[in-house]
Amino acid sequence: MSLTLSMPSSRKGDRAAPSFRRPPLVPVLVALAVALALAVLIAVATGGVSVPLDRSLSHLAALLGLSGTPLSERDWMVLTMLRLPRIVLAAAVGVTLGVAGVALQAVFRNPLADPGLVGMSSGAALAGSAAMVLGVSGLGLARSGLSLATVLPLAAFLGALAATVLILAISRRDGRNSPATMLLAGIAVNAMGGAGIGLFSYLGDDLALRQMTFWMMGGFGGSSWAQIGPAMLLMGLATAGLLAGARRLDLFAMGEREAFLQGLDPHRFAVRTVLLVALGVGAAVAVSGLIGFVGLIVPHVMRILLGPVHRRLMPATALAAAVLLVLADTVARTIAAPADVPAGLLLGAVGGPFFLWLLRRRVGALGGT
Amino acid sequence: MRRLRFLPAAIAAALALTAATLAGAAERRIVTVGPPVTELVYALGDGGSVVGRDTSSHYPQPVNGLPDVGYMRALSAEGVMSLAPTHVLAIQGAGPETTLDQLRALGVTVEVVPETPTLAGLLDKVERVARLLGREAEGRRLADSLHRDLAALAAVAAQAGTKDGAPVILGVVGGGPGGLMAAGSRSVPAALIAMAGARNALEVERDYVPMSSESVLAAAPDILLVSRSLVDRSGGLDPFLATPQLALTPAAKARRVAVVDGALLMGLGPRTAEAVAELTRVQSTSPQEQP
Repeated sequence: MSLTLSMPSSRKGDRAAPSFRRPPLVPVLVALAVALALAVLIAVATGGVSVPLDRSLSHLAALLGLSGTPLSERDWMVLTMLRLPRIVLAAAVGVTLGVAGVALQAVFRNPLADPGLVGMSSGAALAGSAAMVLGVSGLGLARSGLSLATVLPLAAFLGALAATVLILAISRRDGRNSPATMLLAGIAVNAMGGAGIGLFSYLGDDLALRQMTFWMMGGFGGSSWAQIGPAMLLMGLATAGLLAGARRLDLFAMGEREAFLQGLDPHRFAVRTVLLVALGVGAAVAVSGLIGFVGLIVPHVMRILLGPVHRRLMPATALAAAVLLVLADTVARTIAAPADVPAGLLLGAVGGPFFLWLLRRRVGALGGT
Repeated sequence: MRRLRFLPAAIAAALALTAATLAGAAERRIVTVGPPVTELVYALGDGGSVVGRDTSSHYPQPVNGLPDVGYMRALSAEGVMSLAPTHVLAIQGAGPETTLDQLRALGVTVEVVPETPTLAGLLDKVERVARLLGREAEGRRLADSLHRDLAALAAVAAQAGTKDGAPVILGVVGGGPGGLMAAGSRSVPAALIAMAGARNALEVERDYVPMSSESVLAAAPDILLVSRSLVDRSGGLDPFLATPQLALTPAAKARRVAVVDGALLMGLGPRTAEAVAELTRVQSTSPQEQP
């Protein structure tokens, strides 16, 4: 595997001479926000149960005391209990994975870094599989009164965290973490996670096995407000923390020595960022399974469009990834209706080839982004 | 419009039932999940009120014209709701649980029927579904006929078994280059084997277990019990029996194989006696008589 693609932001002069052909940030953000609003409207208006948009809006108007006709109770419940939690979760997972992808790519100084690649997702998936196969009682929590729905997010977060701590510990030398070693350690942890998942799928009975398989395909079915609440909180915290570090990511990207001279402790900052990413990714995996490629493709496209400066890149990536996942989930729940297709599968099927095409394009125009 | 598609079932139901029960059935909209449950609803005469089924339900024929709500363990609440069901009848293991809870919250009667791989479990399942549909009388009739058929088959098997002891049967539910998925003691194939008066080759307290070639040989099954889809996927009975894991077993050498519909192998339902009959038929043929 070649990891030698240069990180655009490490090129000298990128910050000193801002690129002139980049579109200004604000119009791009506004366009993406409009796209997100449209995607959400499309998602709200489509689904197995037909609830026309004008009637939903009319219901909303009625709720606000304006004139309008309310929906039937069943339609309203379908909208608020089944459809909205999915849309909200898809958007939140998009934001989290997109921002986490950007942050990881900066910390590893590699545009191919992704929570899936550095072992976090498989750590989360391994812990989640253990929870599903062993069950609440198998984990020694028989009398705790906890259900699998509560234990799963916790397990996934701890799994992502454990994988991350392991990677940090392995790659630590003389009090510093080498990004290159971290990436390689991540790949090894990934392989170990895969073996562990294999072990649990061997141990699991038919039910646990099927449950595991579908969870790992990734998707937003079965989302309810109660279930996504805690995960949303964790994802929000992680994303806010990462967005707050955007300026320092730019310093970090200039190289450790320069970052240090600018007053940043690069090692501490890298560890902090990676922990925040583990928090966000663990929470996202817990509620939606493995959703690949988002953290890789969206930052990549946005970098082509907006350049490598993280204060520009992060908010744009967050919005674009949310648009992508909201639309992907809309397709997933309508393409085979009344059945549900895992959104993670759809993204893999579309995202993989698209990413390869992007790579080819980069190779073709070597030297340009 | 959709209602026209299961006209044959509706006619059949009309012949069997009084007008009063049919009127009751017309108000019901049932989504059935899992072949045993789907087949039971039809066998009890309520097929006319089924409006959706899961991917694995292919019997009886009219269900194939109904919307498919997807794989039984990956149901989508809104997808199911789009069929406006009043009842969801599902086999144990259907889910995810959150989807079932959401459907309950939306006022749908969701009933999960346990899959217990014993004759008692089957009769209990019949009674339970019959009660849910308000068709207790049909349920009793079906349970009685199942009981009678299976008892007759047990008598046949006992006669066949007296010659040289009960044969050893290996239930194969999956195969491939990775190995073979065999039926343990807590599986439906084990229940079928027991009903046929034979011995399960894999006495492990689990449902389905991957089995190595050597353990298959060591188990020395006299007869194989396998799903039609698995045989078809292997390219036919000959290539299936020629797979390295099976080729050296007494069953493969003598070509003593009971091939049954996958739905019969994975769940107990109204057609269970068919699967047991196929097993007893293969038992009563001596190795030499096999073509």
